Amino acid sequence: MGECVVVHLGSGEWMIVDSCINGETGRPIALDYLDLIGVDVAKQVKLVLITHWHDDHIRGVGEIVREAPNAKFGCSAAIRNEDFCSLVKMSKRIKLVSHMPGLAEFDDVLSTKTNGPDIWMDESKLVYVGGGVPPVKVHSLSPSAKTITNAVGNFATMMKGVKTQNRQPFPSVAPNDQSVVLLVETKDVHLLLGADLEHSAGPNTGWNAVIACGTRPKILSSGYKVAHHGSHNGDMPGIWTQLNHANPHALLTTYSRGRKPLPSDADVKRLKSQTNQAYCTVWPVTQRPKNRTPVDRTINQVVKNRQAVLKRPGHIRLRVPLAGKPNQIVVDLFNNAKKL
Amino acid sequence: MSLVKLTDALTKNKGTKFSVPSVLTIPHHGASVTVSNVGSGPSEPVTFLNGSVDFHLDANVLLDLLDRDFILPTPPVSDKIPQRSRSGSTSEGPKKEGNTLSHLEDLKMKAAPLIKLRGQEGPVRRFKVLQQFEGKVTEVYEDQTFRADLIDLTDKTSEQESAEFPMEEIHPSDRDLIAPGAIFYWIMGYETTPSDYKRVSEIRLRRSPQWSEYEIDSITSEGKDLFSRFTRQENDTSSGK
Amino acid sequence: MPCECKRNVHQHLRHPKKEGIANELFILLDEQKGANTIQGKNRGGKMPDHQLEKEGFSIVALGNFNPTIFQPRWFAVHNLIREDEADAAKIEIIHREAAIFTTGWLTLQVTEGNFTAVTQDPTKSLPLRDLAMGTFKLLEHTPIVAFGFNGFGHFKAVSEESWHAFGHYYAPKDAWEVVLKNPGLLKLELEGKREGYDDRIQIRIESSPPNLVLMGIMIAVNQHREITKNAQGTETSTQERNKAFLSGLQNDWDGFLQYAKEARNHLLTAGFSHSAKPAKKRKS
Repeated sequence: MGECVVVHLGSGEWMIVDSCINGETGRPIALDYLDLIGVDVAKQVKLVLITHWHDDHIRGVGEIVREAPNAKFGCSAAIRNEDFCSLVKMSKRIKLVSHMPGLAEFDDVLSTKTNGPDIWMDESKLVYVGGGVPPVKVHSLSPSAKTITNAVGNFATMMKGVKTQNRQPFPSVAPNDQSVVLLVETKDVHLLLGADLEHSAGPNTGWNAVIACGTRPKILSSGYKVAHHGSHNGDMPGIWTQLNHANPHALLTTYSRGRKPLPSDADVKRLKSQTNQAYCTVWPVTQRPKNRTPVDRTINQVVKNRQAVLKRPGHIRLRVPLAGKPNQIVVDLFNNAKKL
Repeated sequence: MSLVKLTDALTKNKGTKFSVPSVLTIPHHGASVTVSNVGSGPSEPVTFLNGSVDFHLDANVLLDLLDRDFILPTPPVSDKIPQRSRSGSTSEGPKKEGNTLSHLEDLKMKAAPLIKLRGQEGPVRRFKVLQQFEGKVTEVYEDQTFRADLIDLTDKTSEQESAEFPMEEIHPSDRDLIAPGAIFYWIMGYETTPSDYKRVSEIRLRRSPQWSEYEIDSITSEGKDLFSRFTRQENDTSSGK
Repeated sequence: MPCECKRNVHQHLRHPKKEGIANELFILLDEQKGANTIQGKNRGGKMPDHQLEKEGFSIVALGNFNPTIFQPRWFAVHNLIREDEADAAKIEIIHREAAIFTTGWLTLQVTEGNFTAVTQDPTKSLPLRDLAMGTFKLLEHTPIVAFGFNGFGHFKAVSEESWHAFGHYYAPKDAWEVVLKNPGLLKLELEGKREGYDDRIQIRIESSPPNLVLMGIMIAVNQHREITKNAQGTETSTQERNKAFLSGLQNDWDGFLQYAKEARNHLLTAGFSHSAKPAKKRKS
């Protein structure tokens, strides 16, 4: 459960954005996939980027960083913060039977990256230039300066709150507005990775800030990893008009663990009003858990509703020649992935 | 707070005179202090928490406690107190001193002759566990329900689930602990009692103490070190230019 | 103890041949669940050769403790037990030399040298660990020199004969019969190591007290770890020992429980399956 994107940057160089665990193997899914297609992770992975520190985006990143010593590791500049560092150290001291606070994963990364991340990403930063011709570039489009300023106060408040609580619950550390939106630029086909960024009320944060940013590359993408699992909060018209071509390939991952699983029917309807090329990694979003004999009846008597968290990952693959055109994009769907 | 201040506070609050020698126990972490008053009124065990004084009247309990040879407080045990030998005993019989087997005999030996124990290790529960989950609360709703991720502890290869629980399934004393991030254990099985054999579902919240000041200081200091590592590279780079 | 007292307090496991029953049984293995079942010659259906009657766990620390700290209210104030559990606690003693109380699922026993948290509620193995962890997170300056995990279970044998035969498997009586008339096993304790750990493992097989379980076999597993020295052999500080204890609770409690369960299952399987085989010809 979670989200992970791997991108070939040309010349055999690869980028991993976010991480989750393959329920079938227990390994980070990116490593499983790259092994499967014959990529030498130790040599060929050049970038490991984490958009934000929510549990469903970071599981296994410590292992990836260990296995990819040639990769630069990057994360949101909003967490370059003393209180965040204290929260990381605090999370390390909480050991649960099975549920680990996601933040402890960051501490695992630091066992390899002892001086911290190689790249602090924020709005309109050139993160990477590939070695191919033409070179593939990776830009970060968020978080905004205002978000980073706000984060200082948020972490201070969070730290203060934690001090006065018992050890659990441990806070979810990175609000979605600290997410890093990425833009992968090739010659003619560009890819926008929306992370979990949400639409905020203020002009200087969230998607408003990305769209309004004067220094971002003014190019339109043909592929869009839809923000925040297609939720209403993660969407706004400007994404479709100012950041993407008309009718882009829209790819989204699901979130089935909430009362309102994402995307909802209304989300799908809204998404389909923007493009007729929308794909989802798992469909339907929620699935009934397997029968747990002999306690299934008891479980159903206690809980109001229950959903399975699928072990088998859905997979959407987009392929296009490096110097190709948008109309050359080929989509392949694996496992439970479906076109909406 | 010293004992004198405490007894002053009690006298002021309760209008009853308290005497220092009647202090029964004082745990060194300031958790609770039990004091008896003097005079004709009922005796009162007193709980003393973070500087505030809370009263729970129960004279009979106090008298009962007095019968059990309660004593004046002892200071916290420090590292420097000479330790008893922990190596195996050379006397006849099993090595009692140096093992961690759970045996009440050990306690009997060490506590005798002041205390006579009845040799019980608590109530026995006959319960056949069928299924155990560890849950993590993800969302709490206003309609007295909450959502949680469930990991199967009985079969760790089994798929995870997400489920919504009514708050009424939680013990009233645990409900305050329900918040995003809270961990709980959910066990189902058959319980046998003298009068009954029944299927039982039980949820218990994981309990953990607050962070101590020492831990917070230590964590903050570690956080500071980590942050300085984040910025060291930048400083090194800028000084090199 | 003489064998006549077979329903008495000093119940013990006697020579199976004397009872003349063991060779009438043979074993079937239920492959799906890995549990043993014994089938009598003339019986049509399966029945288990033993049944788990009681189960418990304890966590023990050795060191220097101040027993007066360990009061129910202290645990409630620090969020380690429920308020109502503290209120309902039955205090045996709070003394500078010992503190003992029981509340619901938990019995706590602390002397100046020993901290023991026990539960005989099979559903409380994880809360027990949490309680020990919480306690020593708070008492971080308390000197600890060793700690141990314990798991024990009482199993009722399906018949008195198989119960005796089980004892005979682990303590054959031939050598004893020269000096003891009608000898019986009361207690057997072995020490060794567990794969992957330097800790001392002690496993004890005992005849259950008959007032607890009639024809019962108690198997207790103890994993004991000394923490006065680190891996390099140098003396550790109080805080390092505290950390070692907490880390042991965090990382090894689950694994210990699994190990203890597997160990006792193995011992039960071996003991009962042997007892069900036809008895060998004996010299005397």
